[in-house]
Amino acid sequence: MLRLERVSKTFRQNGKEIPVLREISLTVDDGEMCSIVGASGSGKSTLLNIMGLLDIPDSGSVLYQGSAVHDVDERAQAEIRNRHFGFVFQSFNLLPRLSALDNVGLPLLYRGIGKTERRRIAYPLLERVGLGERADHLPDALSGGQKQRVAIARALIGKPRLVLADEPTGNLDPKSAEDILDLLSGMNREDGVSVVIVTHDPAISARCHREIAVGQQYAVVQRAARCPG
Amino acid sequence: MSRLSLRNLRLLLRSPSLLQALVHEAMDNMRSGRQRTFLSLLGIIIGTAAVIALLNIGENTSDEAARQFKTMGTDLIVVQNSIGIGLRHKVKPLERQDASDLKQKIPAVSIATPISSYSVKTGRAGKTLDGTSIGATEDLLTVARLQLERGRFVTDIDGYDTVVVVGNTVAKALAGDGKRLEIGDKIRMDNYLYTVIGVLQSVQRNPLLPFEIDNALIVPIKANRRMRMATGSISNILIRVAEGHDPIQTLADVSNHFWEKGKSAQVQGALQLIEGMKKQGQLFTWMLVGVACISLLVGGIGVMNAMLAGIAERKKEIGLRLAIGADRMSVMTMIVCESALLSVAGGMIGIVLGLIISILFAAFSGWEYSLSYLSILLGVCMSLATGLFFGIYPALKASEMSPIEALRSE
Repeated sequence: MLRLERVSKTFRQNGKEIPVLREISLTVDDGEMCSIVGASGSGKSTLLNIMGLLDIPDSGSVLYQGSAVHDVDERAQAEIRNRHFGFVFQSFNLLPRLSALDNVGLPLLYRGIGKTERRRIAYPLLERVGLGERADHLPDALSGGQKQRVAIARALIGKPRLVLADEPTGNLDPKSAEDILDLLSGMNREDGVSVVIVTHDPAISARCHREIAVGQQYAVVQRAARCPG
Repeated sequence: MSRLSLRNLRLLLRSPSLLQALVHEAMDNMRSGRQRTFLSLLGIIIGTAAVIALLNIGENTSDEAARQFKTMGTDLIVVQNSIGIGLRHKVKPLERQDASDLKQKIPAVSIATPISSYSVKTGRAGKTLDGTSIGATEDLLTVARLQLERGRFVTDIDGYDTVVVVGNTVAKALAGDGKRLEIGDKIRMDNYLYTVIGVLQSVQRNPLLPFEIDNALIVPIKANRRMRMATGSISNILIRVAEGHDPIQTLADVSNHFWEKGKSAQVQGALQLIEGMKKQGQLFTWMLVGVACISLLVGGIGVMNAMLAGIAERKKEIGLRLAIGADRMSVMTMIVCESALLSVAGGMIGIVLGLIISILFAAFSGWEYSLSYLSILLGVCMSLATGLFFGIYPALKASEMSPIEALRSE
């Protein structure tokens, strides 16, 4: 479904060039759940950002459903992010002014859907992540785990084909982390949504079908995860 | 900016539901950041208030001026003796005869009445007042459209008699304690005693008349001459234009008449004066445009400052919006809408403030208040335009953010 071909990315800092990714090729299949692992600074988040069209590779191409999307115009990329991708972040990134329900509905704003309709669509999703009773809570009144569940509901509202999660459990206690992972694998199983999780937790990686290791050699080793599912 | 092509704007405008949703979003955003934004609005509030107040006061002023003419009519022409102003050596003063000549020579003149005026000290029963003694014939009653409160006006039969018709203010000032000034009462004018034969109704000041009616002491023209031991010269001729004649043309004819006779006379007509006031009003309006521009600039910079601070604070939010599918034009639109809403809110407060100021001003001046709807329209448009214009730069900055960097910021 999503394919990276010979993607390279170099950061420039204080005049020095720091190569992060070099000629990386990989594929994420339909309905697949895979992890990206690697040490801090190894470029796994950059890789995820390129996959999610939030960053542009220096060279190489990103193909979504067979067509190159890394160099289409900004508006088309925004539309793909809005209609086909869902994002989950380590720091949740909920808008503090909006209720849980409105946070979930936010992506639909950019489809031109009005507030009442957004709320109507968002509510079942919030129920699905177990927060139906907290729909009108502001993010500040929610625990970390609850915030991340709101974020997952937000990622799902657009009925995406692919959810990209960057350290989704990085700020959570083990119990909440477990819940979040259950949610992610649940939606992968039930809705057939592909999931890519950036993590440095081997336990999380172990629950994925496949693990993509980003290493110091700027290369990628792909191997089947130890225990899929 | 290349990415934010016009095509994108057209696409946005073609999807009204997205535009509508973005405007709603901007409204919600504004509502939640209320306190901080109020201060930044001061510029717009003060600017709009100034424009609204000045425009309303300006309009009330010209209404007031127009009202002053309403009582006297626009067909009044006043000839003023301007001895010493003329450039020619031999300047002949205006005489009574000139008034009757005018009526004969120029058919457009329906009445022409001479007056002579001096300032006098008048007094009665220990009360004194500075007034104007007007030597007049009975035609003045018609020409100046005077109304008698009681008594009668001076007539030609009065001749040199020391009789006086007093203006309303004078009558009140010279009245005894608890009593009004009666017909037959004697009042002193300089060194003469005059008998009151009439009291005039109060009239609004007419800027064209060389004296204030309420403050006048009208005596027979001959009596005035005797008192002053003056020559036969007079100070003014008051003219009414006959019905169906053009006051402006008549004014020119009267002017020419005196020019040909070698008399230096200044001729003024009500219409001419109104024209002059209109021109002054236009100048006033241009000054207001200047004020509006300055307040626009100051207020706009305030709004821009608030918006820039706002987007720096909301960097993460903008990053998130971009990540979940906002294109740059949507982000821009939202910020511009916020800026416009902010400015219009400020404009509204300014309009209310400006109206209050102008109403108070009218109340203190004793004027009739009339609302200038144009000023309100202008206030709204001006603040909206300011918000739109000064929102563009912050909106561009917001839309050019890299979503990854914005999301990473704290």
